[in-house]
Amino acid sequence: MNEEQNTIKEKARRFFTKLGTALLEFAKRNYLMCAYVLAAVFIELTGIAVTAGKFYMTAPWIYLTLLALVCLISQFLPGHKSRYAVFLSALIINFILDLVFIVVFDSTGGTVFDYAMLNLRQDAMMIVESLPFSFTYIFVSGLIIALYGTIGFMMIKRMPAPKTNNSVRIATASLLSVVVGGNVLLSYFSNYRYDSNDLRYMLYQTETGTYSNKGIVGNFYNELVRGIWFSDIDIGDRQELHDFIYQSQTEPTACYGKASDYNVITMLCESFEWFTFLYDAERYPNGYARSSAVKANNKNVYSVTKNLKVLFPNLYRLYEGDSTVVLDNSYSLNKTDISENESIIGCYPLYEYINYSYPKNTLPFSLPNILKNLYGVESNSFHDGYRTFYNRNVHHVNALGFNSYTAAEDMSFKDDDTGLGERNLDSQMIDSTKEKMFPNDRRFNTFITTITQHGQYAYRDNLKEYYNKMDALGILPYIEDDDDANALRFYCAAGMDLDKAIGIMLDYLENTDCVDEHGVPLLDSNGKRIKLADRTLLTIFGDHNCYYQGVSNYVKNIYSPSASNYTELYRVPVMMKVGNQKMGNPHIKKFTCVLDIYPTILDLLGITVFSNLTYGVSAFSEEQSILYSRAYNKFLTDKIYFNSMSNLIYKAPGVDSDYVDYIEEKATGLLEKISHINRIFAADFFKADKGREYYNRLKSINDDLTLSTLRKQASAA
Amino acid sequence: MNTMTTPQQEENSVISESASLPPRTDTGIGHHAHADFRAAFASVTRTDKIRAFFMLGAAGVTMAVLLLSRLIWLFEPILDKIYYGTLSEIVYYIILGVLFTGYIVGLHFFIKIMCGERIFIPKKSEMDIPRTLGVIAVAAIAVFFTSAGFKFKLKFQVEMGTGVTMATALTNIAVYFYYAFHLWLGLAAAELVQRAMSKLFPAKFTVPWGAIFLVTLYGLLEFIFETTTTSHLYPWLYYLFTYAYAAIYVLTDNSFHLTYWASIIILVI
Repeated sequence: MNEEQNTIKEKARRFFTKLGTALLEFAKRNYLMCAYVLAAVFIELTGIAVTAGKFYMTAPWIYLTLLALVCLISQFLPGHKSRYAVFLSALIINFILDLVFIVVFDSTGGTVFDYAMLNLRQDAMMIVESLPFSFTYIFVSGLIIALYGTIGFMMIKRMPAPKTNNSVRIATASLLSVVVGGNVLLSYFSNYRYDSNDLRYMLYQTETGTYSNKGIVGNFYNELVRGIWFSDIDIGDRQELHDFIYQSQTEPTACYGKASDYNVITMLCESFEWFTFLYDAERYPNGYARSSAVKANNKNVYSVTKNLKVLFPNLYRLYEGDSTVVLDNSYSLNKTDISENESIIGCYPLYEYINYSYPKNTLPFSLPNILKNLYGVESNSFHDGYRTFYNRNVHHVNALGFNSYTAAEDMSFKDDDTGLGERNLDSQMIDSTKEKMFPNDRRFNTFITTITQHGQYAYRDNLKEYYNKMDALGILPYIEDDDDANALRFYCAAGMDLDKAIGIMLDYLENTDCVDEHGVPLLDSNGKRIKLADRTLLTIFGDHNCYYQGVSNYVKNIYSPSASNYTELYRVPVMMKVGNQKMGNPHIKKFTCVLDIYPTILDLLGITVFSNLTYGVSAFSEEQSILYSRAYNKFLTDKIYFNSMSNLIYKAPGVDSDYVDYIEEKATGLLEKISHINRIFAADFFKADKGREYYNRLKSINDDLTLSTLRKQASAA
Repeated sequence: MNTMTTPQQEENSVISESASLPPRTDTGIGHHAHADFRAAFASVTRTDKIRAFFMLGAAGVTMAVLLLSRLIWLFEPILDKIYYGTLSEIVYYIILGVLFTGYIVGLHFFIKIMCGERIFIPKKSEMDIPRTLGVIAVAAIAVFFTSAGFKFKLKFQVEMGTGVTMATALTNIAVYFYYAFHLWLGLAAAELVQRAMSKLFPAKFTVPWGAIFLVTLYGLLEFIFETTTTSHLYPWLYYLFTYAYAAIYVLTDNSFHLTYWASIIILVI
């Protein structure tokens, strides 16, 4: 028995010795390949760590097949030198790809690459003022590549030559076909659930919307596959689509028609945040609260607020105005172009950037088109950035229905002279264009997109007067070697120019008479001249938080979803001035978001639309919306932040299962709408007759006497 | 019997003596035998001494070219006429590039003709792994501590600044070319000093003349002139970098090209 056991042991020992020798031999002959796999994985994981904060991938399979492909291709090469060239090139490509996407991630506040972003490449280069390179990534990856490049090369003559006989080639070819097949299958299974007709599957996906799933290179590859083969949108059943569109209408609220027949001014303020002009030690611990503490031993809050009212008189004029409705709990998690569109059309499709993909679609539900077709109102769009940026010059006029689009090149003010459009001054734009923006002889709808508060936040010559004013009051002084504090200083100085712009606009509206077509001033029932301000609904909102240079994170001291107030990071201002009506300066505390701007404006104007084309609800409604961020692939309310029900990234303290169920229901409803909007955009559903039908139906529901009665009742309530 | 030896015989005896010794790597050229510097100097032939002095002279001229090139700034009013002064600094760097390239080409042929050496031809001998790791370690340490000093931002990010205009960005990038040109000439001078001194003192242990030259003469002179004549950021940091360059020069066994490119990485990042 013992002898038998000894024989087995001896056989096992021999087997493992032989195996060890064979493996060692293999490792020596393929030392470049083994080192390459280790180096590439380490570079990739470092990239993931600096973006997603995790040093692992949950679905590395696509990435691993790509590594396997490089390894197997190298096996066909005759010697170490040629393999070295292949592996080093592959490592450098891996490094560069990761670096590019890390820079994109860091400079856009955490955007994970998706295929449609390729459309934005030119715009992205236009606004680059500085690149936030990750030290950790570059240092670690640089070191790995340096070690691989030098030691790998030096070992070429010291290691045994790789085997290149026929059996190796046959085995390699077989493995290659297996890996290619595996790659194709993995690419398919990563995207097979895609269904353009029903996006509700997204709510139960395992993806976390970060690079810790497939990795940076894996995500890039998968997005290319998805963009090329899995992004077709099937128009599906047209009748079903038609029925869905006209299925329901927006509900009138208590404020319905409060601004009927008014002019409309909507001002999208670039990166505008409440902390631009508000002191709030609790919400913004590193904002004016920190500055005041540094300055004067934090004597009292009132002195800081008093100084802020000197620096931002017009924002306070609006914020505290009796006619102003403040949406105090409003959020945005998007890029400028998406927020802009959502405030004009009330929705946005998934996967595409409509400024580039659908710039000439017919969108009868856009605010300019509704006002034009129902009331003959002229709409114009203005922006003090470059004309072609985000393809606005085409998209605004063709798809959105503006009569004209006026950009910086068309305005008679001095350009910032630096070649960087974001240095232009909003105050100069309003001052030089106000007569065109706010005509007093006809009803108008004007959309303004500002730019001065765009990052990067560094010293700018044309903001010098604001720095001086801040310094005179001891507000946000320049602090040597404190990049964060100085970025805030420069940001707030840019906000002072926005304030100036708003002041010029408000003054103009308040001092300009409304006149008839013959230039005769219009009078109200008391015989008093009607000013433009009396008849204008003005909406001012921040398009997204101030993510450039992490200013928002710094001021709010929020750096990760583990913070108890994480969603505060995305809270942005919305203020709506309803003529000169006595509104009592209400501050609406319910959750609202950028999607609610469009339905709220329509509600105030007294226009009912088909609600399935509208993602949001009126701020005056009892209902609450949910924000889906197309740019970040996340759902958001003030209490919850997630990309799927299986990955609730943040829940506010006190959120219970009932609330989660409620949100799941809301998100499901929103995804159903997005599925239909996708199809509408892809098919240009409203072109020709369908567009005319929309206007006729819209006119019909707005002329409906029954509804009109309801409106009156609601208004009275 | 004539016991006197001719210089040629003396040189031959040194060579045969050194050939019988076990090979050793020093930081000079070749493997020498003399433990005493005087004996070493005395052993050098007249021809080699002349060649060495030519090389030292060339190193001096190289340093002079490097320093006098700053006088080109006297033409600033003329440079300013190009693109209204915005890009005059870039024009200056272009002039430097052309001037230095011409000078290096001239220097190469001068040394080849007068001294029979080709200083810019890469060495064929391979570095060993410990030295290679040493070079990488020196570069990594330099980059790490510099970045740490900038709160873990890469130096070039800090130097490029944020929110700079396109013209400023171009100028800032051009400054790296300026440093690269200067390092090129400085390292060429160090190489000449190393070769000349190794030739003059073929001692058992060769002093790292080139490295010492880099830190003391080149580094210090650059630091003084950068501080007094330019508004460039962190001249003290660039002086500290010369220690890293010197260490790499020693570790690479005085390889001009390896030292230059490794130093450029440190200089930029």
